[in-house]
Amino acid sequence: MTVDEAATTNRQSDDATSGLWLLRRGWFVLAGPLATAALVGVRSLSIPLAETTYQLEFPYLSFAVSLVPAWVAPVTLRPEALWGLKPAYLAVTVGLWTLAVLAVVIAAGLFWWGLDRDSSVLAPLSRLGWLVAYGLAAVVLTVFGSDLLVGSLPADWAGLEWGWTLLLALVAGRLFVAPVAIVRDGRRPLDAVRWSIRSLAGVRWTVRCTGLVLLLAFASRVVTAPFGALGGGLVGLALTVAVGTALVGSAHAYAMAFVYDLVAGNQTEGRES
Amino acid sequence: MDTGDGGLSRRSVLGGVAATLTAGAGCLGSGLSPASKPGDWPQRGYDAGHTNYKTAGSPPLDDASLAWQVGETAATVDTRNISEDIWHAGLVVGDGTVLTQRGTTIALDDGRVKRRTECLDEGGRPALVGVARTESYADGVLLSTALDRGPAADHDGPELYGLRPSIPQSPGGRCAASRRWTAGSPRDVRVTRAGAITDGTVLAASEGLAAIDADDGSVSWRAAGREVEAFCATGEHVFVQRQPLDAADALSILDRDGGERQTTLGTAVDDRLVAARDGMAYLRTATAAIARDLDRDREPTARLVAVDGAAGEIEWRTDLTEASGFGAAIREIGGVAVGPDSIFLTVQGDGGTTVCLALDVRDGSVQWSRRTSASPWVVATDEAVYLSGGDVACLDRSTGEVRWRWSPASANARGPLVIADRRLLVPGEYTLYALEEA
Repeated sequence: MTVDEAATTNRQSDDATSGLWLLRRGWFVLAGPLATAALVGVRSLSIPLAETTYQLEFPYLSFAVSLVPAWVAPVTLRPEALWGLKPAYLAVTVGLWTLAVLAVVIAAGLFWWGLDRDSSVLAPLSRLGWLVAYGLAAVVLTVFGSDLLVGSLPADWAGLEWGWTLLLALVAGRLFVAPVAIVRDGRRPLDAVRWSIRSLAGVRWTVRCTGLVLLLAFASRVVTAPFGALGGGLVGLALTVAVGTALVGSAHAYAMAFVYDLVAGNQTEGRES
Repeated sequence: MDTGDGGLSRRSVLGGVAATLTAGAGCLGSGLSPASKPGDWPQRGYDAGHTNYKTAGSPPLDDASLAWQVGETAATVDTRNISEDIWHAGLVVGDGTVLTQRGTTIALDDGRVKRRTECLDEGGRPALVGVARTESYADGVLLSTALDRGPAADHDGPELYGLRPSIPQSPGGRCAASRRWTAGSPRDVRVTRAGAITDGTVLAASEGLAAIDADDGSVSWRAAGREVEAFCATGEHVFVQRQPLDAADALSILDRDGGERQTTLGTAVDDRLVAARDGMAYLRTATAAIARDLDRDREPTARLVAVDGAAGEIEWRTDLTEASGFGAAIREIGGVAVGPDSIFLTVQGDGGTTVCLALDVRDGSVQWSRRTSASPWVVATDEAVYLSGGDVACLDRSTGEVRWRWSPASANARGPLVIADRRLLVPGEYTLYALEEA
C-alpha cells in the first residue's frame, strides 16, 4: 500500500465513523422534504396540481425523463395552470417551484462533490451556481417544454408523445455527464454540454445512456404509486416525495457520477497512453 | 364528511412566502375575478339557485328590435331535456363574451364571432357547465364536463374540467392545452352532475355532493350519501335531492360553507327540485309523472312545492292544474323564475296553449295569470317577465300584460333566454339572436 492509498483508506474510515459519509451522500434525504414543502405551499395557494401517479394499466410504461436528478412528483405543476394567474400568485408559485428545483439540483451537486473524497463537504459556490442555472434550464425544457409541445399537438398526433419521450431520452443520454462535469471539473454549462456530447458519442454510449435515462425515468414514475395507495392526501404526498426523492434522486445522481468516472477515466488513460 | 387536508390557509401561505419571494410583485390578489358585470350569465338559470331571475342589466322593456344574429351556433338545448336536465346552460356569458355549448365565442356588444372551436363538442353531448370567478386567476375558469372522456367515463361519469376561458380556436386542437385542472385535483374524480356555481365554488354530484374549488379543482367538502338527483344553493343552504325520491330523507338541507347536514325531509316521488332562493327551495311535478297519470286516465297531479330551508319543512303547495285553469288538460310545467316576492312559471295545456302564472312566494297564491303562445322558458327581472318558445314575449311583471312580442324571421326561438346587460339573447335552432330596446 502506498502512502496515498493509506491516506485515502484512513479518510474513508474517518468519514464512516464521523458521519461524514452519510452527510456526503444523504443530500437527497434533505431535498425531499424541501420539495414536499414547496408542493404543499403551491397546493395551499389553490394553484392546480395535476396528478402524475403511476397507474398499473395499459400501456404500463410511463416515463418522467429528466436531464438532471429531479424530485419524485406524484403531482406536478403544468404550464397551463400558470397562464392567467394574478401576478402575486404567479410570482409566489414560480418562486416555490424554483425553490424545489434548487433544492434537488443543489443536492445533486453536493452529492457529486462529496463523492470526491479529497474534497471538502461543500462545493465551490460558483460551480453550484452554474449547476443551478443548468438545472433550471433543463427542468423548464423537459417539464414545461414537453407539456407545451404535447399539449399543442392536434389530437390526431397524440402518438407523437412517445416520439418526443424517446427524443428527450436521447438528448438526456448524450448530456448525461454534463452536470457532473460542471461540479467536478468546474466547466461552464456550454462547455460541459459539448464535453458530454463528445464523450458519449458512438452507438455504444448512446444506447447505454439512453437506456439508463429511460430506466431512471421509469423508476421515477413507478415510485409515485404509493401516493394513490396512501389515499392521495398530504401524508401520502409527503411520504412519496420524501422517500421517492431520496431513493431515485440518489440513484440518478450516482448513475451520472458513475458514467462520468468511466468517461473521465477513459480519457485520462487515453492521454497517458 | 371529507374536508380538504391542507392545514395552511392560502392567505397565510401567500402572506408568509410572498414577503421573501415576491418583493416588488405588487399587492396580492384579493377577491374573486373577473369582476361581475351586468352582462354576465354564468350558468344555467343565472345563479346557483337556478332562479332565472336577474336584477342587473336593462333588457328591452317597451319594444324589441334585433341587435345582431349569429348563425351556426347550435346554442340550443334539447327541448325534451330542458325541464329535467341540470347539466348545462346552452350558453353562458362572462366578461363580455357569449359562449355557446358548441364552443362558439361571440362578442356580446356587436355579435362579432371571436372564435369557433370543437373543443366543447364531444360526441354531440352537452359539455358546457358555466364560468366561475376565481381568486387566483384574473380571467376565472370555464367549466366543462365532457372533454377527453376516458373509457371509464360512461360508467362512472365524466370528469369536470376547469379551462382557460380563451380556449383553442383551431378545429381539432387539443382542449387539454387550455385545461387548468381536473376536478378532484390532485386525485381526479368523476362527476355525474355539475352546476350551481357560487363564490368560487362549483357543486357537483360525485360520490354524494362535492364542493369543488374553482381555483384548483380540489374538493373543499363532500357530503357523502345516495345518488344525487338534483341540487341548488342559496345564501346559506344547499338543497340536495337524492334517490329514491320518495324516501323519508330524500331532500337534504346542507350548510353551504362546510356541507354539514342540517336537516332532511321527504318529497313526493314525482317532485323535482328546480330552484332555490332566500332559503327556500322549490320543487315541481315532473313532466313524465303528468304524462303517466294521463296515460292511465287518472286525474293528473301538477304542483309547485316550497320548502323552508331553515325550518326544514314544507311551507306551501300550489295545485297548478287548478291555478292554470287547465284541469285534466294540463300537459307540462315549464320553466320557473324565482324573484324576491314572486315566482313566475309557465304551464302548458292541451293544444299548445300556455299560461304564465305569477305566484306569491309567501304562500303560493296566484297573483296573476296570462294565456300566451310563447312557452315554455321563462326569465324575469324587476320589471318584466320574458317568455320564449316559438316566439318571444315580454310581460309586465306586476300585471302580466303583454308589453311586446317578437318572432325570429326564419326559425323558432328554441331555448331558454339569457339576459345580458341591455341584450336579451334568444337561442334559435341554429342561430343566436340578440334583442335590444327598439
